[in-house]
Amino acid sequence: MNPVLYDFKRAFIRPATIIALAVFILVGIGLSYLVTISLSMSAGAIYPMFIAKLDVETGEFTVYYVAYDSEANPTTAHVEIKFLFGMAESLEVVGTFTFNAKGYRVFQASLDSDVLGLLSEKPLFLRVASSTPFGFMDMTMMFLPINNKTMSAFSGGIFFSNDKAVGSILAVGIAFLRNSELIITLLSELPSEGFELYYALSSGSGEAGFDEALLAGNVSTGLTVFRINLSELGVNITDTTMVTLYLKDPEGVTYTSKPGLIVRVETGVTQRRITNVVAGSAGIGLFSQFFPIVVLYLAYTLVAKPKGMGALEFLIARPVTRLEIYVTRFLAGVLTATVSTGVFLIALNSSVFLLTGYSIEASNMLILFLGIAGSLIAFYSVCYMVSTILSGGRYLAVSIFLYLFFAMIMDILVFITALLMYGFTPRLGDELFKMQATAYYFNPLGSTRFATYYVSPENFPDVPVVNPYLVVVAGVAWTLVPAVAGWILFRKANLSK
Amino acid sequence: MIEVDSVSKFFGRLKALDNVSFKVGNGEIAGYVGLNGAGKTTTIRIAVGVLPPDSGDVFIDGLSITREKKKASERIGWVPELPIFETDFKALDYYVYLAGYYGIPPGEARRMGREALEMLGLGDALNTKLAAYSQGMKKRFALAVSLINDPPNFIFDEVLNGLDPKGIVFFRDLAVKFKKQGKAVLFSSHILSEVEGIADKVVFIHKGKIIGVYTVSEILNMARPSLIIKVDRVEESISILEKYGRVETKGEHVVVSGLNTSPSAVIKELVDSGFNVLEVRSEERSLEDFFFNLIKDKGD
Repeated sequence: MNPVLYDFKRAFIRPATIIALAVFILVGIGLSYLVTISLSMSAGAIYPMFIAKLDVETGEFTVYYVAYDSEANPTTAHVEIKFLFGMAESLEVVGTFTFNAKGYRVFQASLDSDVLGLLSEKPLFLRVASSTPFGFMDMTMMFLPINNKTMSAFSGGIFFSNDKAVGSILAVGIAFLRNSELIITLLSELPSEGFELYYALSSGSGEAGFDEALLAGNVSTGLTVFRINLSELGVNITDTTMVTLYLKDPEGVTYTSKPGLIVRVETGVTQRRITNVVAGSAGIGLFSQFFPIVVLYLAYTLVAKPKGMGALEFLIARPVTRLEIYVTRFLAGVLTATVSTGVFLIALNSSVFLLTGYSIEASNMLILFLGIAGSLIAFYSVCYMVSTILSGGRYLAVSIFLYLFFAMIMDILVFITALLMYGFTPRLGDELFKMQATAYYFNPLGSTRFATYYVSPENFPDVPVVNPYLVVVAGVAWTLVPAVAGWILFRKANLSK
Repeated sequence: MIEVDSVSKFFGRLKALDNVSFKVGNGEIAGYVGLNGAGKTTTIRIAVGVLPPDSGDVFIDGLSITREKKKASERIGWVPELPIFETDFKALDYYVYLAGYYGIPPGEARRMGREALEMLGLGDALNTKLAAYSQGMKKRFALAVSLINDPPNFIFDEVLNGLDPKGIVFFRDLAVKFKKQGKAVLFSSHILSEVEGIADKVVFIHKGKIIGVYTVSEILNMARPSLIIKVDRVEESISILEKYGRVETKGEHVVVSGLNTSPSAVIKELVDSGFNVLEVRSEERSLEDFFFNLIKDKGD
């Protein structure tokens, strides 16, 4: 096997590395739950819709349900529905049901027969509590009689009424505008197949007529979603644009809804929220703070320890040069740091995706990866250089000191300096950040801090200290300078015990 | 062929090697003898490329160990005095790892390693960590690795130290076998008698300098018993005694060393020549005495 790959394999697949990585992956998965909890704690960022139909004779009911997130994407939801009797001040729960919906769900169950007997006495309400990864919402709607046999409750209804007053069709729906795409979502229970949906856009309070309506497509019972590319139509939607929907049955009878507002949504909002939570969280911080201990140990295992024992001599007597040994083991550590960072971030991102359906934006993932891996590689380079000078216990003492200094002490020194210079004044915050940012250039672990800065700038003061070119130069310098210096020392070093 | 060419090495201010030069030809065993700290191991470490010289070079079959390290290293095997390996490896795994540096794929290396280690009596310890190996086992492991590509040159660095008699016989026989295969073998020791039975010549080093290169027969001649004679006319006796060996006078005594005849023949010659032989004694000279005398004469 290529010695680089062999050294990488024994660097990566060793108990310390694997255990540390496993621990941080678990931390990352835990972080993804933290992200989800943080997102779900915010109310009102979701759009649940439902139609519930109850057969008053048998007690059987059907709930058509769907929930959308703030970017008009269907989201998973844990739904609890409660049937309540009584007046608004005192409602008695007579039935509770729960189900999970992955986007659209049709749920069917039955109420107890003794409940049905109460239907004529008091109003019946339906409370629908939706918990999604992006927020929660409670809606309580009263059941309304549809006919002698059926009652219905629904969220924000759209009634399609016939202009000849022949009948009406119940549906619920929302029209979203996302970028230049009009998304019309419709939950409906139709009397037959073959219905078509038309839409017309109007500005102000005026209602657009059917003559101006465009065909959206065929509608069937349950959820139907229409996506219309408005840029192809040359339509510009403003804040006052309304949409009027028309259902046309197979016989050509048209049912019209009232004009409704279009909900504007923005793409990327959820990803940004996720990224901000991730970047500012303990998970990334823990990994970047403590995984350097693993790379410190790798430099000890790959160079300092065998060098101190004299074990490198037998190796160097093989058909290999000192430079190759030096580079091979350096690359093994670099690969380990890179792969570990990749595995950690992939696990984190995968977990976030599985829980929320969203992942961290690719560009931000790349920045975080480069920042964290860059820090680990730079710190490894420093430790690697130390390992060419010192062996055994002395290497450990010096490298642990360096770790403590760069990971913790430097920040404390900066804070103390800022406090002494500026005192507890309003300027302290900004000046402290400036000094910290400047100090990161002189810290091999600084790349991670810069990466979190670029990924979630909202978490930092708006201070023009961080220069992307200097960030790159600092990172490269912290890697190359110790590596080259270490080689200069290693090539003439006495490798005997 | 192993050619050490004007090698010097400093450790700080200490000049460990001072212009060391010698050759070991193909099909030849050269002993490399010196006291502890004379510079034997330093020379060998330079010869196998693990220590860079401060001046001079070593050529392995004409390839410079400093400028053509990889090619030169392919042509030389080395069993160190104290083989030290990375402790977290198992024996076979380390063999495979090192074989990678010879360009041997893992599957083939594993097969070769099994065969080589089993042949050297380490078949039961293939999956034992090298840290648990005894010194003898480590030397055999080092030998197995050094034989990966069957190099034409070999260096044994005080390999007999710490071995039981069986191990000593094994490595001595191996050196002889290599010689018969036409390999150049350098066999270092601080005990001259260890190399006496197998070497063709011996290179002596003392305090970093080569103080002599002798064939074994020359050494044995010079290490023969000496005759110490007290005669009435010392100076006149020299011309007679010179034909029987090396003569030196010590006061009233004449010392004849490297005798090429029996002591009685020497005495008879003196008596027949009219000398009064007042005292005769024979003094055995060991190889070590030869060595120490060499150091005394040439080293200091």
